[in-house]
Formats: sequence, structure tokens, C-alpha cells
Amino acid sequence: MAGRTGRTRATQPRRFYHLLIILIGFVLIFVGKADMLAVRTVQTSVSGIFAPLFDVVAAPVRAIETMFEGMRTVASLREETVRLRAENERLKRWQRRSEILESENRQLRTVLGAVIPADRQAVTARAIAAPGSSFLHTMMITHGRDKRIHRGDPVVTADGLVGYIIEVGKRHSWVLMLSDVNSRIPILLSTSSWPGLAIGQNSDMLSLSFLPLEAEPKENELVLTSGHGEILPPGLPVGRVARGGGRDFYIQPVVDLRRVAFVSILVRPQGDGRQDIDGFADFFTPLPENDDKRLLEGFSPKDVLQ
Amino acid sequence: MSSPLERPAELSSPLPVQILLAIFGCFLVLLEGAFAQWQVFFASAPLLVLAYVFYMNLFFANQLSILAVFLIGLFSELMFFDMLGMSATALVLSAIITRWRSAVLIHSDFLEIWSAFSLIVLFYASFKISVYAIVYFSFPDLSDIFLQAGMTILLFPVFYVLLVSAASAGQFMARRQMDSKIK
Repeated sequence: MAGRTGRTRATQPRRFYHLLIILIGFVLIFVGKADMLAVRTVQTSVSGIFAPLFDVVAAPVRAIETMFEGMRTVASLREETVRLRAENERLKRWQRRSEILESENRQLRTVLGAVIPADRQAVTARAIAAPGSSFLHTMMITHGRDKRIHRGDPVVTADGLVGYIIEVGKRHSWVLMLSDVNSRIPILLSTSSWPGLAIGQNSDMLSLSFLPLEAEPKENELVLTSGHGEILPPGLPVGRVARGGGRDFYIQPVVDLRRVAFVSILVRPQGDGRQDIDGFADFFTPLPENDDKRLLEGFSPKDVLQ
Repeated sequence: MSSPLERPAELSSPLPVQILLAIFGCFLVLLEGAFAQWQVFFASAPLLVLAYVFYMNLFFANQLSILAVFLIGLFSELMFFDMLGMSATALVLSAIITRWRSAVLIHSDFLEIWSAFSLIVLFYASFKISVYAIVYFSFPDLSDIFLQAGMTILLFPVFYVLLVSAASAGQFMARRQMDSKIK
């Protein structure tokens, strides 16, 4: 009896200690959700410190995958050659067509006087950490503040948009991929020009939301960034429309997010005022407190009488 | 009474081993991240850390404390920008459940241990899905989560054999060291 009481007494502090740790865990979940600057700074610092070590650990694992990839390539070499020949023929036809279109485009530009905004420069970086679970779709890349990368800079490949920078360390940065649940990209449908929002779902497809009721997106229609909000430049390919059930539409990203190895970050050139999404807080204008006073601004009775 | 400097060093302290095992857990976090770079494991890398925590809490509960488990989970979250506290809490709860079941499982055959681990993996995934659903009011891609859970359960025997071998090697070296001391 005494032994049992003694054991119960001994397990009580241990139980309290376990409960305390669980409680700390839940507190951390809420602290993390609050998106505090201190938490983000700690996360960036820790991942920045251990990134070189991670690169070393990942090197042999990457090498094994490369070896398997090589073996698969050798096995499918003949098939690949036939496919590439056909593709080459098709690309030649497209090249001729694009040359004609390019010339036509150039002529139209001189008529319209359109100017291509040359306000971005590309920095190439290697992806060193891919999403490890379905709960987050972020990616770590080499280069950070050392290459003038800032939060909000778009990250692209030759195919289109991958995501945008959310955290910048000294030599590493974190990319929020299009597919992440926190990602919201203002878009335009390329042929019908309807605006909307591409929302990540932590899955292969993005949800196409906030489309006007009269919008009728076509299957396989190209979706581009609209440039609304001035964080992402307009005209970057995001994906192609896929029809769900009823009025539900999805976007299949043009970039195969599973195969991203190298990316380009479109940084603003040196001396550009707006270099960080934090800077856009200045552009945010809250609703005026006494809005009724401003409603009839410019419509004074005096003006009407005159 | 002699000062701490005059007292002989405590060579049999379990602390260095505990620290080493916690560092090994952190190494497994990095390895898990490296596996995520394989296309086949995209968004569903096998949960090596969970397997490690399960094994250690089953057979060597004194060597890997709950605090160490929590810190390993936290390291994983900080390293890979995961939701803060989610993996750490899930790992701690898994470790506590494993300890609670260890009295029965420690004398069981491998199949029973494997099925217990499968349940732990399902609990771990369910916990994370629940927290995610509460925080974001939506569900992540469940197919990836099932793939991750399935992959972890499937690869557990391989990981188990590796850990048993490592533990046997460690015990063999410790015994040899003790024998040489006695001689």
C-alpha cells in the first residue's frame, strides 16, 4: 500500500512535467499563428545557421536520386529520342510562328507606344529544401540579402511563377509556393481578361476564386498574374484553368512544383524605393473615420446653385 | 566537504548519451528534409523522426527525455518553416502514448510493435490534421498525408532493423569498455 502511494507520488511531478510540455506546445501553435516578427526572425536565423549543414546531409541523398534518375534515363533513351524528334519538329513550327508574331507585336507596339517595364533583374538560385509534408508548401533557396533579395520578390522558372519570397536570411531565403494554403495571387484570365484570385490549397491544384459571376473561364485557358497590389509584376504565367463541378474552377500550375531545382528571383534594381512588401504598408489607406463628411465632397449647394 | 573541482568526474552520467541521442534526432530531422527532395517523396517524406522517437521511448525511455523529443520537434519546425508547435506537440503526445504502452509492447513480437507503430503514425497524422483544420478552417491534401503515413509504416521494418543493429553495437561496445575496466 505504502509502495503504491510512493509510486503515485513519484509519477505526479512527471505527469505535471509532461502536461507542461504539451501546454507549451499548444501555446507555441497560437504564438506561431500570430505571425510575430520575433518568431519569424528565430525561424530565419535557425534555418540560416543549419542550412549549410543541411546541404551537406542532403548531398548524398540527392546523389542517390540522381543515380536512379540516370538509370531511368538510360532505360528510356530510345523512347526519349523518338519523343524529342517529334517535339523538335513541333518546336520548329512554333519557332516560325513566334517569329511572325514577334514581328507583328513589334509593329503593334510602335503604334500603341507601349513600354516594357524594365524594373526587374533576375537572380538565379538553387532550391535546397522542398516541402517535406502536405502541411506546408515552402521552399528554401540559396541567396538572401547578399543578392538584394527582398520579401515579396516573385520567384519564377522558364515555365512561369513558382511563388514569392516570404523570408530573407543573410544567404538563404524562403519561398511561399503557389500551392501553399497561405498563398493568394491576383490573376487575370488571359483571353477573357476577367480578374480573380488564385488560392493555394496545399495540393496540386489552386482554387480560382473571386471571379465575377458573369465570367466564363474556358478549360485550359492560361492564367496570368494581374499585377494588382503591385507586389507581383503583371503577365507572369500562373497556370491553366481546369473545370471542377458546377461553378468551381481550379488552376493547374504551369510549373511542375515537384521538379523545381533552380529558380530565378525577380529582384528590383538597386535604388528602387519599394523593395519589401513591408514598404507597401504605406500604400494602405484605412477607411476614414467620419466618412459621411467626405461623401458629398465637391457637391456643395453653392456649386449646384451656380 | 570537498569542492566540485576536487571531486572525481562522474563518468557514468547518462547525460552525454542523452545529448548525443537528441543530436542524432536532429540529424534525422535534416535527413527527413533531404528525403523530401526526392520527387517520389514530395510533400510526403517518411517520418523518420517519429519512428526514432517511437523506438527510443519503447526500449530506451530513459535515454530520450520528453523535453528532448519536444526540442527535436521544435528544431524541425524552425528548420523547415513548419507551423510552430504542431509537430513538437504531436511528437510529445506520441512519445507519451508509446511510454504508456511500452510495458505491454516491450515483450511483444515484431508484428505487434509494427501495428502499434502504425496506430501511432495514424494518431500523429490525425493530430496534425485536426490542428491544421482548427487553425486554417480547411483540410490539406489528404492523399499526400496518407502516402506519407503509408510510406512511414511500410519503411518501419527497415528503420527498426537499423536501430536495433545500432543499439546492439552500442551495447556491445559499452560491455567491452566495462570488461576492460574490470580487468
